[in-house]
Amino acid sequence: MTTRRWLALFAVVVLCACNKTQPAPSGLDEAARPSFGGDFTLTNQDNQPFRLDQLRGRPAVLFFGYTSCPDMCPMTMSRIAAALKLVGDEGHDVTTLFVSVDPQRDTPAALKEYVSSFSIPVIGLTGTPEEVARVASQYHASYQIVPTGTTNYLVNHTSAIFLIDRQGRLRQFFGFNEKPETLASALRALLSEKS
Amino acid sequence: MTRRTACALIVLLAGAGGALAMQAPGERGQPVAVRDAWVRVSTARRTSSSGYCRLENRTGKPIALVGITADGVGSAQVHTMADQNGQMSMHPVAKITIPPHGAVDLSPGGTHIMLTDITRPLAIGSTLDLRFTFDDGRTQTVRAVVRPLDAMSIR
Repeated sequence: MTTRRWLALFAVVVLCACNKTQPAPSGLDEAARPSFGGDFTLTNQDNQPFRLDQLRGRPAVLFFGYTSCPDMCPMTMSRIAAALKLVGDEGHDVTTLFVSVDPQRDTPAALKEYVSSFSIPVIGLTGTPEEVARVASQYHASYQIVPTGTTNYLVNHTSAIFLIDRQGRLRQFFGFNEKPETLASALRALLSEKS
Repeated sequence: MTRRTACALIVLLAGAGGALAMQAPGERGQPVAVRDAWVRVSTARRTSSSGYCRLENRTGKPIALVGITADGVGSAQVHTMADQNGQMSMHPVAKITIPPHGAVDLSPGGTHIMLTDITRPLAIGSTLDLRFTFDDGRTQTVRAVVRPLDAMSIR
């Protein structure tokens, strides 16, 4: 499947996710997995290298956002936290990753302050603009800086919540406004799989 | 004053403070009732935030919210969210019309107030006075409670 077709599918899934009357989960077929997602290395909030393969054996939730995001990012992180709480004790095995699409402002220190604001442990990740762009490309995520006429700026970005399995494979993605119950169900399914 | 009386007074004052935080100063009798106004925390480093509330039109005519200002906030605008091929973007809207005897919710993930260039960090538990301007030229001050980053409502 071409990148263009994946993006079209992606758009459909996110649009469906915005419709509260429709279920939003989306699977990825086996053939797509090698070209969608995958390992990467970025820098965490403690200014240490972070490799996705460090998480082998544990599922992960990944979201692309930025710390200055006024509304959608905090809301999405809140939904992820709500889903993990629904999962219960097993949810502690899930790692939540927040990949910044604003590496200019989102230094490790900025990410450290940001991720500490949430009620769940979150690994904040950043890198050089090239490193971030490479990871976003792997996950077919896009982002653009939007000037606001001041020194501040916004970043439009892909809003999907990505679920990664114990083997580091991207397995599902959901809209940012997905119900925590649906996310929790998908996470339970990933947790039930053997390492 | 006995210790018990002092404690009762503290509880009473705390309750009064909470009530004041929910209700805007001078809201009584206004054509628009603004309920449950809250904003997300900001810091010296993260100078953007967002605000939410419910606007209720008590009159038989449409009323539009056309502007918002706040001390220590460089820009306050109403924004809508739009999905463009899976990428979410925000767009300012010039006005929000509240239908006669109707209500509009400014809520997380939907139409909301975007606050940028905040020069005085908004601390959790404090309040921010938002000055709403309506299309009849009237202004109304709305006191918003500052909530944690991952809050989804005023409570």
